Amino acid sequence: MSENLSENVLKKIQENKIAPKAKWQFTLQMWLVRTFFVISIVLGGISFGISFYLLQADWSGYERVMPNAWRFFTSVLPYFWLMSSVLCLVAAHWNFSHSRRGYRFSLEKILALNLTLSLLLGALFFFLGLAPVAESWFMSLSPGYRNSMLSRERVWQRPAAGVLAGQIYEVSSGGTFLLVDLDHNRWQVKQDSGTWVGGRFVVQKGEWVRIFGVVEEDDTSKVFLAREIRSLGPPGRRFTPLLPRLLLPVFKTHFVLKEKCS
Amino acid sequence: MNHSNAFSEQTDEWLARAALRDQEAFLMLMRRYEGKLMAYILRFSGFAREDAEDILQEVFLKTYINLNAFDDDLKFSSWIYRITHNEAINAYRKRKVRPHNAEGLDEDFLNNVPAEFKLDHEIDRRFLQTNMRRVLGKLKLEYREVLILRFWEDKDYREISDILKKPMGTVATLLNRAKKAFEEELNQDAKIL
Repeated sequence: MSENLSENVLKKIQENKIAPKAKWQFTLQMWLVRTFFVISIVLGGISFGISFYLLQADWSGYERVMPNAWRFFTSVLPYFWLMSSVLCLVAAHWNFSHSRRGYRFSLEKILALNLTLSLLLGALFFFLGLAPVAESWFMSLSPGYRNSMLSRERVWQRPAAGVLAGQIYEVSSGGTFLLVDLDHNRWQVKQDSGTWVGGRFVVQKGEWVRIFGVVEEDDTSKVFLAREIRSLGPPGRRFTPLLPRLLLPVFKTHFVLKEKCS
Repeated sequence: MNHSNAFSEQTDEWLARAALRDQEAFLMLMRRYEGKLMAYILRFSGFAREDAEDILQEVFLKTYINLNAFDDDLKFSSWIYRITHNEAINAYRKRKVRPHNAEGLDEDFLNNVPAEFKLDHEIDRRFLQTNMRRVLGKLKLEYREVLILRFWEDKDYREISDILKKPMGTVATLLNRAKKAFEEELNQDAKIL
């Protein structure tokens, strides 16, 4: 070994005026990694929260549209948000393992930690009623996502099979109302004394519903005789958020809440 | 020199902080680690001495430039070994040199076949001299690095974890596998020869 290796290095440092990098660069790097970790966990939490919310689809009547529960479940799974949750977990894992001490934890521990944090945050997000708000906002930003969600709702659009879904645009007397279905067809929906209205909603203009019944023969217009009417609910209307309900005496809310007297 | 005397009694961590203001402190650190790190590079990589010196120079330069990245939660020794390990790995991957009976085999390296290895035969010193480097060279890189750090650099599990940036559990598993692989290769060689 050449005897002057250390001296040579020192000489090189002095001749080339090499200086240590400033501390702030390392501090900034460290905080960026931590920040991205937190962001990944928060986004993962939001994704899980929205997934919980969307999985709250009203399952009653699924057997009329799907051969079994499993097929129905796979058709309503929120794939986009689940994939988003997984991507956020991967990002959180990468950031954590690149933190100063992250390498000391095994892969399983890091994943377990990230998953737990995201699930807890997602549950909190969901119970605070923020999931439908976030999902509505995302829907307004992304037509592609909106279309995919409408496609998801289409499982309830099978008039020939006695299942109709859409939005009420006019309510007449005698329980009859007009509906635009998911294919943009207009229907006259009739109720009679045997019609059952379920779920926490009121048959009124603007409400999204799914209806079980039969198509009536009519040459001039589409008529549907309803046996059951349930909420379909666009995002934001399907689930009554907890927070606005608690704060109702103090704040105005966008959601109309009427108790159905059964 | 008064500086040298004052520095010689200080810890590595103290010197690392002082080196930010005083290059003599850094010179002291380099002198302390020159021998150890050179031996480590030679054992690990199988490079010729001149190449190992180039790597070591790079190591010291990077250490100096990144002094502010050193944090007290880590031993300075682990930190500089980490830098050395990374530089040696990079150079090794670029050149893809297979370690064999390179120059600079040190006596410690040959003498220190750990007692923990289960060797089938009465393997004599001459056999070890001829074959140990080759046997080590046959092992996967991740096995070689943990064996050298544990048995020749005498690092404990925490230090190896900090050097390789792997969890301690992984280090323990790797070491077990590495030992078995080393024993198998050496015993196999002994049978053949």
